[in-house]
Amino acid sequence: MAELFGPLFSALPVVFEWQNVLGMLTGVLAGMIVGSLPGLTATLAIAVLIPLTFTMQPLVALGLMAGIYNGAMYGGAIPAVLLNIPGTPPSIVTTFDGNPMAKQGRAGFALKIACWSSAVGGTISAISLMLFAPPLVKVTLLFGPAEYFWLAVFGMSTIVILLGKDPVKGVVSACLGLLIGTVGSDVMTGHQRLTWNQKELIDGINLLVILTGLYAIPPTIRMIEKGVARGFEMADFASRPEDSLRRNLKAFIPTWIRSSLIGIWVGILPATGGSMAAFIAYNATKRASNDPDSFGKGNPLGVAAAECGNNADNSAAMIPALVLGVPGSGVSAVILAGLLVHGLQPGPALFRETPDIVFGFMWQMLFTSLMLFALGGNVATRLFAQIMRLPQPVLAPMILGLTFVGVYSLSNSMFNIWLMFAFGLVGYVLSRLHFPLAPIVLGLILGDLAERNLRLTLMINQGDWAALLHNPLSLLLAFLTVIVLSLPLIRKLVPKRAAASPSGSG
Amino acid sequence: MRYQIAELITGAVLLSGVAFAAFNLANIPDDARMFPNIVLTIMAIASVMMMIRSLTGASRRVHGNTIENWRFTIDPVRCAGGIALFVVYLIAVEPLGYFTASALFIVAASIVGRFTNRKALLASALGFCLFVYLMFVLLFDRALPEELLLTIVTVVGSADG
Repeated sequence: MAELFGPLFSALPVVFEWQNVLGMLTGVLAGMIVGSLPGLTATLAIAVLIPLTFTMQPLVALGLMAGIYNGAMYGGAIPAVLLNIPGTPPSIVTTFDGNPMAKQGRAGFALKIACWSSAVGGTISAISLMLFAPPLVKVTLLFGPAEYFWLAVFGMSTIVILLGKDPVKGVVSACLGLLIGTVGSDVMTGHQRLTWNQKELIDGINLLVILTGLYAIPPTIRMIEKGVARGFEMADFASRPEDSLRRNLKAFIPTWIRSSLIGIWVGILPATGGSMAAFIAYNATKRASNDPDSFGKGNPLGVAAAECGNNADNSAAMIPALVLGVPGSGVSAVILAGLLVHGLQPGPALFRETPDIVFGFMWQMLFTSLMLFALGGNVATRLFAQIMRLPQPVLAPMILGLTFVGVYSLSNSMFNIWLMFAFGLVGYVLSRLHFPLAPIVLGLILGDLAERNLRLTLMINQGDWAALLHNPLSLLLAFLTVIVLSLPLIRKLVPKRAAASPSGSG
Repeated sequence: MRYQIAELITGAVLLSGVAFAAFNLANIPDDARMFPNIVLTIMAIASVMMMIRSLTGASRRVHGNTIENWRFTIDPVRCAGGIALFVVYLIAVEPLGYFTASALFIVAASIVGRFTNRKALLASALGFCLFVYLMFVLLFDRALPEELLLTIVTVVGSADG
């Protein structure tokens, strides 16, 4: 036990170094600002941030990312409550009861609930990360090259099939990511692949160039397109005496426990994310309520369930990412890319060689959740609510200007900048046609893992492809992959049979 | 219909990309091209499937009624304007310098997005440049394209001196 969790407590003093505390604090504030701006997501903010932080100490950069992640998830509730516009995708569930509460003159209370619930959900989720990740990483010691190959294929399959409405487009996206990942010199033979004799491509395409292009440029083009939004009617922050935490604590505790557990479970599952966690937590709370009809009409428990559920997903989603290197969602894929940029490879080596960083990151996820209590109060929320007034056509060129700073400083050349722009245009077209972007990032991250281990398995076994299925663990992973890939077919067949059986029997 | 056309064009572009990539990989050893070739094969199959789904209407059905009002852009003029401005910015940033080009870009992009409050625009452009200078140039020592204005002033100053 001490061997498993000892390094966790050893990392604590490092987290309290002033640079790391400042990183977390800045991250939470920046996250709240980003979250409160409709159209900007945590993924975008982290994608813009990573190239700006690659020269920083890893833990400072990770603290910023953790802060943005948790801060943005809460910040999304501000426009959801005040304007009925979700600031981030998961906060759509917060609009169900948050905005009706604001219309009843209880906006201040709704935002307080959102803040407390986000902090509670995030904290419990961070504890789950601390409890589950260290023991699970021991399991990965059983993995050989064949298992790692299947793990990469399984990770990609789940995201491709479960994320987005059209699995075929998910497959295309993943293939694009895998293909972009093969650009450059082949590590084993030294031959150039897909470089078209461009010397800038010999070392491959920098992950940051692709991330920034895909995640930062498409939303900013949309912001310029939408122009200045007018006609917002912001609710006031009036708060009644009965709307205090002390008076309502008892009512919220069961909802917080239920929603946190749901959020953690959903977070660990691949390709789910905060939106699903918020929806399931909301529905579970509604079902458990004595007055389900009041949901959607301004029930405070609805806001609590949604916000607690979506924040409880945050740290839990990092469990498969840190342990296996297989991120379960778009945001965790981007954070994983941030780790890779700092030379940190997920898996047992990360826990063994850099315990201060990996366990420090877990503490940062916890502390940034707790910071929401302090920074998300009434005064701060009033301030962040004003940020929603910032005109998006002014923000868009600023975001693009920041991406320039980050990507230009990677090599002090314009080549990467033009490449980023090209990926931005590709990302814009793909997102308009409902191609999910997360499989591209996942393909980039997992492509190398899959190829390296496939070739290693074949090399060790003199080119015998059956070696990929020689032991029970690889067989299990291959079986799970086949099951996941068959899901769309199963989904099509099951309703047909269900529909056919009553007539058949009757 | 518009969505279907866009999907079919994308499918055709993807298939052309697959052929182009396969051509580039043709002259390298089997071992080095094995993995990209597997990916290209899957991508070609998926692209064809995507086009078939588009022709049969299956890809539109998954999105329900919302797809009927689908348009590629919200506002084609502003979209094209925004992209064109970004291209101009990227072309101008090295000769003009980062701060001059960024300030001009913020003003121009805001006007394209119909935000015309001059005072707010000026404050935003100056505030942004100041933030980047303090944060990234002074604090993190990041190199950015040099300012043309500053170079001119320096040259003129040294010539006078």
